[in-house]
Amino acid sequence: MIYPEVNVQSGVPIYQQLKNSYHRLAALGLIQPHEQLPSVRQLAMELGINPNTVQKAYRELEQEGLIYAVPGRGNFLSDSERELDVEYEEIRRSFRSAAHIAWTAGIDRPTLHKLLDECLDEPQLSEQER
Amino acid sequence: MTNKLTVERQQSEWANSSIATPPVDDQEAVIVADNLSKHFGVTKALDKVNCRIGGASIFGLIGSNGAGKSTFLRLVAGVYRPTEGSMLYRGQVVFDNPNAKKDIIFVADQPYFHFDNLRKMSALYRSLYERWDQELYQELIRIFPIREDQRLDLLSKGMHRQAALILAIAARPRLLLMDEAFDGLDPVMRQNLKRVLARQVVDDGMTTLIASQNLRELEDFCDHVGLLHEGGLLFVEELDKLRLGLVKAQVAFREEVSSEKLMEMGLEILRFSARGSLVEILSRNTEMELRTILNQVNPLLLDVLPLTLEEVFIYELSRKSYVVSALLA
Repeated sequence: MIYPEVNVQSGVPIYQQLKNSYHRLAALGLIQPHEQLPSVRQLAMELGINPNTVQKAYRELEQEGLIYAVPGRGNFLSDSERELDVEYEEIRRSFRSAAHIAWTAGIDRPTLHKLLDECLDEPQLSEQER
Repeated sequence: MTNKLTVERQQSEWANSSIATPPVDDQEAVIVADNLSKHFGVTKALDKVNCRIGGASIFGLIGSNGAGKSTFLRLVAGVYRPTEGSMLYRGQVVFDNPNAKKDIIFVADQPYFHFDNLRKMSALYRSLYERWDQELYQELIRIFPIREDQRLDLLSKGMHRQAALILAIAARPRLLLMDEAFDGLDPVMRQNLKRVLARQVVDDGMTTLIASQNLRELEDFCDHVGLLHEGGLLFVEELDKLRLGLVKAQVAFREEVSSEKLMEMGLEILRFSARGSLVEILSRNTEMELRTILNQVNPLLLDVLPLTLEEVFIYELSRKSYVVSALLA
């Protein structure tokens, strides 16, 4: 079972980090549709975090459609299509904002395409960029 | 490195404005303090505190020395009788009430033991607390390694505290009160304690109240925090909510944009500070709102920065007319 990553020093609320992490794990295919997620108890104990925080993250992920709950059995990952929608929206937003900056700075289309290719060549973020 | 928050009083009528918003209503509250005061002679250790704490919550009580944290915990534990107002645990008065007290365990900042080793102490606890769990106790003395025959009075401060925590947790209280619980524990033991507490919250519905003067100790583990200062409770809030309504961004504008204009466009700016062409904005908006509004004025640069809990506290306090200085000790 894969556990999400949490950095307690980052200043980002932990439930938010849990949510982001699950979106990422799902997008990367590290969790498969209908695969069971760790229970609130397991996750809280493993990471040493507040169970109410885990509960909150799961509740919101369920509302977003990324996971579904089966009473008495636990939480499972939904079908991947919905997940892609969420990711897709997020990526689109980043591109829109990048395109906007480029447009205002007068950077042309070929340069932008080249820039994107460069980014795709090195998709890992450095410590600093995170 | 520890982070302390110090607060100075600027105006005198603060006590009236110190009524905190209740996060839970009375039905689901485990602890209800109404107009709670404890005076020692002329010293008002706690003054007109109103507070509700929900079940299975991990509640952090923050304040500097002398803020009233220990007094509040002792009132919850029923060690003290309130001078005025009331302190209820599940609807019952705690002081002089064995029925309420059997559910509550208080781990003091300087634990006191009647006997000199854990074997004798655990026997005492076993006879006092009917929910005592011997198996859990055996597990805990392995997690926080202390031998049962070790002389308690010869232990280091951290080990002393661990011994007290072992006894308290194994007694399976429904309400666990800890004064400066994490202080003096090394990082490994601290993590162990969090794991054990997390399990008790899930399995046993235990409610936890932790007092600390160190915000950093609590910010990754509590769901609610209350800030005590000079005997008054300044606010109680869900931790995530404190951060959620606030956003901080660094912006560089193409041409100068006034804060007034941004406010007209819908930003609720709390702090607007310019350093050269770089502007730092703290506003009461969501990140999406902030981005949408700022993008309308074509910024050269827009970075949303994470807020520290300390900044949130400083902001909350500044609204209440306090001069606040963050000390990095």
